[in-house]
Amino acid sequence: MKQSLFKAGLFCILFLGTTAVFGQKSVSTKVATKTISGKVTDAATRAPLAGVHVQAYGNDKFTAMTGEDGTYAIKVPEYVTSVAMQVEGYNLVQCAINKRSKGVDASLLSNVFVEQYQNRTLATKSTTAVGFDLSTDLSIEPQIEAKLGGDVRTITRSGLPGMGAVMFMNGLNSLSANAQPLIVLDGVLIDMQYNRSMVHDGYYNNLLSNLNVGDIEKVTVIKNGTAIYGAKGGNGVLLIDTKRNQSMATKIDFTMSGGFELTPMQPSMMDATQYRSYASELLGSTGTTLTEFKFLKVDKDYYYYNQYHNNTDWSKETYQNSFAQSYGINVQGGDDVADYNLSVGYTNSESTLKKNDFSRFNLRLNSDIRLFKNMTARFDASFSDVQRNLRDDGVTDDFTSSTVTSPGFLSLIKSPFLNPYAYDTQGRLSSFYDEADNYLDEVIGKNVSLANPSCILKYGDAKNKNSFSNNLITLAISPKYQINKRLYVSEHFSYTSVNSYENYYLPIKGVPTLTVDNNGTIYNIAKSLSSHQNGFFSDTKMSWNNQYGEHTIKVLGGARFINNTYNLNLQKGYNTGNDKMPNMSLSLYNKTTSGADDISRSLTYYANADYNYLEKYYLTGAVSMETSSAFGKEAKDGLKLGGVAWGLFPSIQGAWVVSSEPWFHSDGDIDYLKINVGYDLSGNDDINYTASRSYFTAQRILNSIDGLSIGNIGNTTLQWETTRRLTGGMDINMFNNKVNFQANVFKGWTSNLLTLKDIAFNSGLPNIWSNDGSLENFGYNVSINVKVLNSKKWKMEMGANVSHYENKITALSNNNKPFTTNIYGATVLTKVNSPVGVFYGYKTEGVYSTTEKANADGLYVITKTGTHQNFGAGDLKFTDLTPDGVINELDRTIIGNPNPDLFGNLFANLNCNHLTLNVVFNYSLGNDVYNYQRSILESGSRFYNQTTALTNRWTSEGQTTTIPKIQYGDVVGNGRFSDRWIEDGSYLRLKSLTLSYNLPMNNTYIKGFTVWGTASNLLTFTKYLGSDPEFSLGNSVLAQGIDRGLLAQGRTFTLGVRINL
Amino acid sequence: MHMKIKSILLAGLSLISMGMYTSCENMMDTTSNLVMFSKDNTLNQATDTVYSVMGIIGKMQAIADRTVLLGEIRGDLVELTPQASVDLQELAQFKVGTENVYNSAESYYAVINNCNFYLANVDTALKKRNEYVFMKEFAAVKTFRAWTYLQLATIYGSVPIITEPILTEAAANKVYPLYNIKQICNYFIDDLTPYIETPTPGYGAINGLDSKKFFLPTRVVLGDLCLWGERYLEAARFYHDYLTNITTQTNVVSTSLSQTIWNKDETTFSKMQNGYNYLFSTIGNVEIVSYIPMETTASEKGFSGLSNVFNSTIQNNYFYQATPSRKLFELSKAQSNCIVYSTNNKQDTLYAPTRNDVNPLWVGDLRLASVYSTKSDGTTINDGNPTTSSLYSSARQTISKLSTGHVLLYRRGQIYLRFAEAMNRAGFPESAFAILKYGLYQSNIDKYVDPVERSRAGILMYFSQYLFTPNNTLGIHSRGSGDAFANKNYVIPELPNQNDSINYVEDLICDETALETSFEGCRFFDLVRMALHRDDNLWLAQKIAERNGPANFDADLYKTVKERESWFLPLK
Repeated sequence: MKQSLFKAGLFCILFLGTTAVFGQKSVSTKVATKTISGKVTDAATRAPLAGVHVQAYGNDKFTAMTGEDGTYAIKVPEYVTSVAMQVEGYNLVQCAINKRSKGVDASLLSNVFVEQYQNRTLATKSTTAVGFDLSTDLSIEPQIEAKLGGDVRTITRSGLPGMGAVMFMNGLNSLSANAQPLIVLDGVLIDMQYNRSMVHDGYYNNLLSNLNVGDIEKVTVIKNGTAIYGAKGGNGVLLIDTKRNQSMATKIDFTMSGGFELTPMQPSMMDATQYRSYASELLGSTGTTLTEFKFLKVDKDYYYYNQYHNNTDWSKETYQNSFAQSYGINVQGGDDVADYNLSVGYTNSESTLKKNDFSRFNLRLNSDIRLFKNMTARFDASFSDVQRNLRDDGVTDDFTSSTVTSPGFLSLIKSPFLNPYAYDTQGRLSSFYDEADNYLDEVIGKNVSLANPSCILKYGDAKNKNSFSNNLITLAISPKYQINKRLYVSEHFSYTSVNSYENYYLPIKGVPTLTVDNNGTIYNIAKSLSSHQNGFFSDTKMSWNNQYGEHTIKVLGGARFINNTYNLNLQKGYNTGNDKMPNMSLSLYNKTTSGADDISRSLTYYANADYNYLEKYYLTGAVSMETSSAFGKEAKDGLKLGGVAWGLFPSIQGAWVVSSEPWFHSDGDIDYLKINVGYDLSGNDDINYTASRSYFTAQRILNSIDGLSIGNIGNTTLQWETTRRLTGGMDINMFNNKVNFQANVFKGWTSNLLTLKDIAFNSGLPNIWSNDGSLENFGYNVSINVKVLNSKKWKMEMGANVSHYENKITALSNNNKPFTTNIYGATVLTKVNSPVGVFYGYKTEGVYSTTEKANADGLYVITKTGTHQNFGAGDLKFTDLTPDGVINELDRTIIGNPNPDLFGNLFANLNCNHLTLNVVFNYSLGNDVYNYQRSILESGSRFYNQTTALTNRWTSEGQTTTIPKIQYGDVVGNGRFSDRWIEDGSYLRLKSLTLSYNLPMNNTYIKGFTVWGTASNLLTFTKYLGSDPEFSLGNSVLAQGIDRGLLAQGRTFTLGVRINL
Repeated sequence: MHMKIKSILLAGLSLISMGMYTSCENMMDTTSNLVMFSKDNTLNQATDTVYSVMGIIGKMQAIADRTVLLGEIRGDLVELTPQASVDLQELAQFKVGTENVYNSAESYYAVINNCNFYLANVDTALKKRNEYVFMKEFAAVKTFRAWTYLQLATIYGSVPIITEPILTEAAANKVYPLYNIKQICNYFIDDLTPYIETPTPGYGAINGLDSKKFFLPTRVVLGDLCLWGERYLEAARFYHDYLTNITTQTNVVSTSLSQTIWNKDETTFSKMQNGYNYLFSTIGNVEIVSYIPMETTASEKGFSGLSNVFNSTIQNNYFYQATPSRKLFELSKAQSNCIVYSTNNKQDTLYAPTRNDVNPLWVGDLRLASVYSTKSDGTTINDGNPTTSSLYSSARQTISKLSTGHVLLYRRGQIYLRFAEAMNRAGFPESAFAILKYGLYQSNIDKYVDPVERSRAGILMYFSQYLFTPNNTLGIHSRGSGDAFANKNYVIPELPNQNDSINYVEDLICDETALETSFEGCRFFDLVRMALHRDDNLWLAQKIAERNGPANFDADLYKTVKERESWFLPLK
């Protein structure tokens, strides 16, 4: 019964349009008309413009053209409220027909300015960025940051080439599931592999770096109306569209560029003398009974003297200034059978961190074929191949279980009195790299030895050692049948395949023997990874539209099916024998394999209806209905049909063009005013695909047999996270369209947060996945764009936008029990009424200068074994929030919030004849950063080189300083997670400065010639002490604002030419 | 015409959508190569059950260390070093809260739930070659479950009893009846008794280990259940039947003659034959009846961390966290050790000196000296670590009982002591004492056990004279205290009534279990059981409070432990 009801309902939705088709008759030809006249001029010169196309807004049946004197007269139906005017070289303008005495005059702005009007107005809101031709970015995110930075909070992951950025929209809309927007590439919903394993530390497989930025036509941010993306649209949606041919003429573009990136700034580290003094002081706190140390001997004839008396800047061994080059050809053309756009490109970029180079080959064909009458088809194919070499990057999470393997970080902490090269028996420097250091063997033992970073770079260098390759293949066929002028059906079928391979090798030479995962002593590590992602996507759509006088209707409905599979095979083993045999093999010690084998499927029915009355009142309603293999069969809010649960996602948006109202005061300074409101319900389906089902997992028992045991108790009511969002906004153009002001506000409520909930102990499992907890986001985005200068020769435009969000957790699972998450030394608190991701640690009140002061407070810690340890002179004073004398977990409080108060960007464009200067700043204000790297470089508790700040360490009774005394092992925990490591991460950065010159050409062969130069990251204004205030160590919302010292972005200078043939 | 085309197209489209929709349930039902969904785990293939039984053993691994530490650290035979973690200290001080890492009923229920799933789903009716294919595993899994429930009950006092698999949240949240120790025992005595004749399964050698020993002897578990359940006679019967292998009367479970004893051919008491620690040196030794096989690499989940608690290892930087208690040293030293010295056809009983200045530990009972050794730091271990004294090195301690890396559950000496405990409580103190002093074989029984008691015991005192002989049987006390049979100090004194004798013998058994099974994780449970039998909280409190020696009596601890609630952990 239910089923048949459902079928009936479905039928209704799908054929809403059809009935309309059958019922429709041609529109009555007799409508009352009025004549509108006016004059169109150039806004810069005031000269009349001839040949301007004038039409009733949104209705191409009523058009006119301006004459030589710029005047026009157009006969339009009585109900028409505005006209659109357009001519080549100028931006479109929409003018309201108010009760004017003289007529509808307009002055058009040159198309070097940002476009402000669209051909079609919708109730939904989106922002679009175009014009990536002069970009040499390896992936699109820096352009999103520069052009859409107010709409999308974009945080560059690291300075490694093509690493891209973490993006968030409308605040943070999830806790444990993915919170980043859905990426829709040419209409296909893409799985971005956000939480997939990689074998190099600090690396993320950014699929967007497989896309050539030059191939991208536009990027659109959908601000509301995301319900049509069902359970995938809750975090916002980004549409990326690649270029298609627009004209019949054949166009060939050749682009070539070369770039140079400067080594990013590094923390200022101590030199050999300073470090030697530090190390000798630290020795005193190890309790060693030795009295002589090789590296402290001052006798120049001593055998080891030379070995321990160097002054090495290790960063010179691992960092470099790097070069990049890029070549591309784009051929566009078409005839009455087909349009095509073919592009081929090659990019190669070194990294400022040595041996992290990137190269990419890409090929893309987008074609539009007219098969026969009314039948067209798109056929797109693309291939890209990325090759890299890689090394571990960043500060490791855990110093106790492994040795440091990241060359960049090693170069900071490695003792400067050592040399990368070995000394021979005569005490002469040789040309062979030195082994891992051993100057502490006699005191602490071998497990504190640090590797020679040069050896990791050199002996880890080979295709089968430390490399990554990745290819992305997409194929799409989209036939479309135009049944009549108003109705079409189409099918979009696409196949996406991503294959990634990664090899990891930590050499023997120059690396200490190490203990990994308690596996005893090992000499080297080999890992390999291969992963395959296949996406099958089908979208069947039907669309119908019509205009009934003042009513315009467009209805669209369809079904979308997605099948994604992902499998991963990861192998790891130790002790390959020697550095010439880096491969995984059966003989390796303690080999392990792990992997993933995920399938996710979803089916979505959707319908969307746009309606407008008088091109003044707009209404859009959309609804989608989605089921997914990840949902539980009895999903809580689900509609149970056909044995599965469906989520229902409706949305409604309305807009009102106030300026088109007859009563609107037209003599004022406001040319255009639109107000919109909307309500959306969408979801987040990033659920572990097995979480809703009970299953057994295998555990290798005694190295022989797989034991099967209950691994999960399925939650059959598991469902998507639900986000309801109310949006409002306005759009104003003023002073003859010279000023554009936009404001958007949103308030979002996310409930059913996916969370691990405690389950009764008698189940034998700690927890199960459930939907529990909720959070809220409120925010706004304001932007202003001013055409400052508009003369015949000089044109200048400036703009700024400001975004803000507030985020608050409103409910949590397990009866709102707060919980903490430890990430790279940080403790992140998740608590009701707190924002997501706040830092939870100790407050400090300076360093005790005297024993007397320390004793007066009498604070102590309880060590792991329960003994009391008092704070003494030179120790930090931690705030004893629960005044009981003991500094323990109860004394922690919120010490920082990584969420910014304000972020966005500023830009200016200056255009003079053929010369254009473009400047973009981006900024983030009020966000706190936990400087994890600094907490290691200034903790004074290990034999690691420290920053020069440590030269001010407390050393003697009565000394007043902010840096506590150094102590091996840090018994009282001066280096613990405290406000000492929390910094203001605010910054303002000159993101890019581009000067381009478009050489006028009048040649049969060459149609255009552009040279340009870009400087990126030229200036950064910040108080932040780390190398780069912009970084992200992971995709999780809880991992934001934690600086683990990934490669910083350097200043980049690029020169390029573009030739149009 | 146009209308027609439209209609056809639309109809076609609707069919496509309908087709998509009707197969939804199958379409959304994905599969996996990494996990096995519960509906697919049908347990009707021989290999399925091996995987499931090994899965249960995997869950046993997770409770192995925990069970041992709960039994040992709360007892009176070890004390903690300053390096001991706070969680261990809480155990020792009887201040375990719900956050203590060793308080996890969940990991015991993980064994139980997997057992329950197996028992509910295995196809016991499946026959091949006229044999019930899964009967052995079925019985073995029932035994695992009963054993685990006994641990739970003795750790927590009373626990929810669940015998059906929990595979849904609703089932997990249901309220289950709470059973106390006796109720648990009674339930599982009935549950297990039908399977006493079912043989133990065996999958041959797995990773070089005899897989038969991964399973628990059903009769011994029944003996334990009866002993805890205060059904002493039945307990004695189950132990006896197990030891004498009543079904086949072959492969009897005798004590063997392994002992650590002073050289008998000299009178100087300066050399000893260390035969006791041999019992623990390899897991294949006949002494060892069953154990939880643990993984060999530390990175694996099922690796035993016990050696990091009791021994100096690289992982703990040689800082062990628990060491033999002063109480144990004193108890060990206080034993009277004698040897029957024979030379030139002369025989004499010589008593060992009670003081040894060369090796202070070589006094009294020698079992502690046999399995426990220390080295001052860095003298012999040359592993690249600093040999000089610093904050980062420590004296070294080795308890060789833990050298195999596996976790013992049952061994012969311990089963004999349980048998003695049961016999004694069942009213046969002399028989029980004979187990300690003489060893059970027919001529000893005839000679040393009062005939009245012997005839009352009947079959319980029957040990085949062909199978139990002086060549394979030894009094347990002789394993460390010399020739106990000849020791005039080791006797039951004349006491006013039998009840006094029983309590006296139980004290001897209690001390004997201390000497015999220290560091194996049963101490606290043994003490609780005996205290419950006596219904004497103070007896237990006294023992625990004297952990650091009677001279260092811990009054606070005494106050805590004399309350029975402190014996059990809070359930979470």
